[in-house]
Amino acid sequence: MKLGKILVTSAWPYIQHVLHLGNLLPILSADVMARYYRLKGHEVLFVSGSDVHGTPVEVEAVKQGVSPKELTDKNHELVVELFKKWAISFDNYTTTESPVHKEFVMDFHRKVAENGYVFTQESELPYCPNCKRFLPDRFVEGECPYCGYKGARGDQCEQCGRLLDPTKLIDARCSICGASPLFRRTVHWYFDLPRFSDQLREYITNNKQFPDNARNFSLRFIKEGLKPRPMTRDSDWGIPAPFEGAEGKTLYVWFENVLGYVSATIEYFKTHGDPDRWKEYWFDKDSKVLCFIGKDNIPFHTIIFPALLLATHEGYNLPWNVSTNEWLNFEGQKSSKSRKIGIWIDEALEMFPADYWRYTLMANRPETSDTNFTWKIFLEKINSDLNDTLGNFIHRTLTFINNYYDGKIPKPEKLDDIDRKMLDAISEYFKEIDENLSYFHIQAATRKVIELAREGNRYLNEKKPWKTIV
Amino acid sequence: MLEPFIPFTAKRIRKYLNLPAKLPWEDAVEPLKEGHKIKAAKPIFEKINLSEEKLQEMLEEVRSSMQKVSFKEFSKIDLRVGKIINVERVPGSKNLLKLTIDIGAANPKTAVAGIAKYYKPEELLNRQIAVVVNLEPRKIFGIESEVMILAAQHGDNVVFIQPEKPIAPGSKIR
Ligand SMILES: [Zn+2]
Ligand SMILES: [Zn+2]
Repeated sequence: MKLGKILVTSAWPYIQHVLHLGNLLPILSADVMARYYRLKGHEVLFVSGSDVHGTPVEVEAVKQGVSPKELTDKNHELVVELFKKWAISFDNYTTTESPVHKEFVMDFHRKVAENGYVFTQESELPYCPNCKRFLPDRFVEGECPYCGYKGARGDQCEQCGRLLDPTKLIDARCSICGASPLFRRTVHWYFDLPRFSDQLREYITNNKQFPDNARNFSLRFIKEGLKPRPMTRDSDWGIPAPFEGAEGKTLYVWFENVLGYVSATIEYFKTHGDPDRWKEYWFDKDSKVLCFIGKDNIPFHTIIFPALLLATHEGYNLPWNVSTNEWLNFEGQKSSKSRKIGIWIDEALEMFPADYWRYTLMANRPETSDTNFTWKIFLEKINSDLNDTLGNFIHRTLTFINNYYDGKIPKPEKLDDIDRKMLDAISEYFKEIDENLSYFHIQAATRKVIELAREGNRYLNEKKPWKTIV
Repeated sequence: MLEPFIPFTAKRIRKYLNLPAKLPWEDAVEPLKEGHKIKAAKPIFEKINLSEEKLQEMLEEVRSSMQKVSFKEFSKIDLRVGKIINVERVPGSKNLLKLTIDIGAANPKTAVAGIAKYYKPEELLNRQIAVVVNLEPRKIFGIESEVMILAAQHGDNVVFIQPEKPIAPGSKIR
């Protein structure tokens, strides 16, 4: 039987900072599944990359007094090294600055525009006369009109949590230089998303793989009515918007990073001397595209990305599954760099080997609701599950064979009931683990592996093979 | 079967079992052949004998050791060679010594240091030491400490840092 090809992708992380363990979840989940499919004999390609564009990167670069390119070049190199240490088995981990990505994205959007899904609209946006640039909402600071908090940002007030827009701020100022911004009319290009409402509803309803969190969120989103989405921003850092009259504008990150799944496939085959084979993954109907994401990215993967692929009229494969994890909290709190809450993926490896973390994270993968990382759980997972159960079972079995059988697998004796029960358990667990993984229930699969080792220990204790030999 | 989850461990176990690197998924339940030779095995994992609090401390230690300080930040610290010209015990404290240190400036400076357990006052007199001279002054036991002396610590062992050869007090350390 010929098995279909599988493209495994994980959401492109922003790399203004190194990732924390929560950020790593989609990448680690994707790695587990990529390894599983490879073992099953599928042709697998596992791609992702650093999202180096976007406002968070610009904000951090301004803060550090370096250019966005300097910041992201440095951090990209750092995360590539870290992913190796975590054994993330990427076939291609690239960046949104890659020439292949940029060229593909610009061609892609030219096509979308030719097909009539792009229109322009004028609006008033904050502009700093001193910095000579339009300011993204979060680059404007001022007093919150609701609670009076002085350091509220143009997108949201951190104090009272209300969503704002820069025109609402009292005494608004540019967060880069402190000057008061002007409001200038500017034209932006919009993607005509509402025209895909029916097709998207049908796609999501018929998709049997989507986890409930992704399906329910997306259907609600469509039901509330899709709106045209701005595709362009007034910023130099990004991919030039390839539309007539859009000089000086760049594409909004979500209109380019999701296309990276395609461009990273193209880039992989280009560098492997087979420039046309990417199409097998994106157009062959028995190929599958899998996305692994965190729950904040749902609409971009179940709505915008499929709509963009549909807008080409070229018959791209839409994501076969969008496996979405919930949040991993740290001792009950949200991870936060500024508040030093959480664990970052570089620190973790300075403390314990990668497998200790990989196991703990996957055995607690937040699948249907948020989960909590605590040191208590970590100790329990490592000491009881890995060391006492799995490690102990393997070590005592191997040592036994080495000590009593000169390291050679002995001839099986006549099987009794205990033996037969154990053999049944092995095939039963194997079937269940296989099934769990094929439904993306990674947490359950991880836990079952340990349960099987527990059965193994019970078996050894019951049989006491060392007794019959001595 | 462990390979997707804990690949480093899976690799080690394959080595102990004397198996090739690439095995199909279904082989996970295939029994090994009679007479197949395996290798000596070491324990697979290591138990963590630390409390939750200790783990949190360990994380914070790792975090601070990984914090990079820019050269600009580092060069803000003014390190000098100082000479201890007077030592007194601090009344009411077993731990603290009040040091008067010549740092080459017009007036000597005062440092309050927690080293009474490790050095007798007479051992310190006239010794040269490394001093941070531009810290914000702090009141310790009612005495204003204007500078800080540098010492190395390993468990219960504490030693102060002194220049390899005598040099003029106030010499900059860089
Ligand atoms: Zn507010
Ligand atoms: Zn400005």
